[in-house]
Amino acid sequence: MPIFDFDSAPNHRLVTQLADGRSKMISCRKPAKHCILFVHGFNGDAIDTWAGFDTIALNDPDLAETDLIFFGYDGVRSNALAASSFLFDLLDSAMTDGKALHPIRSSAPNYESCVLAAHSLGALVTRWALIRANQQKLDWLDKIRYILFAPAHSGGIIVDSVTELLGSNPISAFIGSAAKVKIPLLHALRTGSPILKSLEDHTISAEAAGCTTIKARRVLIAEHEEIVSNLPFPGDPFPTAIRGATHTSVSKLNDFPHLITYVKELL
Amino acid sequence: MDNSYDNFKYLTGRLLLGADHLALEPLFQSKSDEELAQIFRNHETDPIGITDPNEVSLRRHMDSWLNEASLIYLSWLSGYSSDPEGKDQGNRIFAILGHPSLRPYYESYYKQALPCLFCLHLEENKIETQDSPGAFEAFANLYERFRNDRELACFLEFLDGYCYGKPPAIITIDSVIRAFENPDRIVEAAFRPASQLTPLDSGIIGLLHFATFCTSLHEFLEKCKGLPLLQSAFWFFYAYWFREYKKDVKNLSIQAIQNAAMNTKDSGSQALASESQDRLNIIMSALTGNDYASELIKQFPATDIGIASFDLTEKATVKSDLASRFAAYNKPRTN
Repeated sequence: MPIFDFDSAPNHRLVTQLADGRSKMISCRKPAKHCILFVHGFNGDAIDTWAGFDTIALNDPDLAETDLIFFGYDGVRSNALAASSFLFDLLDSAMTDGKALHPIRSSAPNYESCVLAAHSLGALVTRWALIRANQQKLDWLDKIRYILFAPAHSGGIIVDSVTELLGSNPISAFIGSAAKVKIPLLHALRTGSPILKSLEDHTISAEAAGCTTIKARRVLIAEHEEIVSNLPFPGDPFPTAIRGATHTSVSKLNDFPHLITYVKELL
Repeated sequence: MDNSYDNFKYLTGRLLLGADHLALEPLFQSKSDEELAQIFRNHETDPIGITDPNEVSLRRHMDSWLNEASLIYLSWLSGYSSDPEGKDQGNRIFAILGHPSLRPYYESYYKQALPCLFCLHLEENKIETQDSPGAFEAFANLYERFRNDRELACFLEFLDGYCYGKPPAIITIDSVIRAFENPDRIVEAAFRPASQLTPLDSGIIGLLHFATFCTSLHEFLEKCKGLPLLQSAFWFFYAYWFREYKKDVKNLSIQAIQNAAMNTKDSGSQALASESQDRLNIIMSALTGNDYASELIKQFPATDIGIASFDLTEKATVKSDLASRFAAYNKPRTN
């Protein structure tokens, strides 16, 4: 299984920070027809959550005319609605005037389609942004293709699982096991919480009004999920499980190279 | 397909159109040599230190600019982009990098090898390259991941001797390491709301981020084993963090785990603590040691570099070659 590729990206330029200071972009050398916008989860990292999409995916000729944008936000100290507001601004600009992508793209990219890929808490962040776009009747919503990885929209994040959430390093590995404290912050995302209930109500009414974009095209879940509930969200398709994956590895192309097919099928 | 010229244009464009360059270029065009030397002075020799917000801002721009310039040098060294020497973009970079009032800043006060090598390169004193554009791209991804991490920056400031508050409530790097005696305190800090974050919390989170960074960097450098020159050059990008700060970060990070394990009684936790400590020891020994340094030092040009034409403390110009300036990197860290 490839975990690192020393081949240079033939069709893309170097990862570059966007003006918001947190998001990153890998632009294709040719004019872009598509983009993939990745949204990480709680305590995630804009790029590392999607390890492999920033390296080995760039050798895939099918992505030669696709920009990759990695949205960054403070998943721990922000909240889903605030983060969704920042995401909405980025998405709206990327799909219209392109100003949020300056100076990487000097003119509006005019994408034919945008795959919106979200992991864990990112599912809430993205769905709120799509609900807003639907309420504002924005044209670009029809160009969005929505895919979810281990979404936290049906409850979670389970508060005892701090080891996996503290970061991947030897100190966190031990602290996560030694600490006994609960994390009250995450109770807001418990199953049936007001924020999840409101999200569900908004989604159901948007779908009833004919908005299909808000429905995920595919939901990928981890076989060894210990962080979030795998219960399907109303209207979403039955989930596809990734064999051997955990909550944090399920979005990593380095670990599961076949993930690329699920993203590419939406372009 | 050879993309090296396209990559060169993209990378130099990113630097020359970036906020750092736009803040610095007018400064170098309008200020006298003495004024520039004053802005980019050694903070340790100034009894007041650097307190003027404008100076602080300019020095931050310079640190960030030097990182971007070093990336351009690494991109050439790895064959990712074409040679900036002799090009208009290279000349604009040299107008700042080669300025005699700036050179002491990275040659001596806050010693960094890559800007020194890049400056010599633009003066047509070049070293051999080692082509692996993909390795450079992976390094650039790592750099992007951690470049704007506020808590990591706070931890690095603690490492450099910064402290917050006044005695007896003073918060130093020792306070950060002591906090690990209570693992619950670490988890609380890691998930505390932004409005309640204290400098101690930031230092604690910063240490966790630093450990994640070190783990990622070590893993990356080990993958570059077959590319010894690049492996060494990539390490030199961050060498300041491992070799130049006042506190030895290897000892401190291992002490953090030992503190956390202090009150563990059961054999399972003790075994995990021991395993984590051994893993961290391998990572930090490699990063703070001398193994990664030697390959690039071997390539240093023998040409003397002058220090401090406008050095406010030494006045006289001192000359030495680059290799002797970084000779200590060929030995284990001593403090």
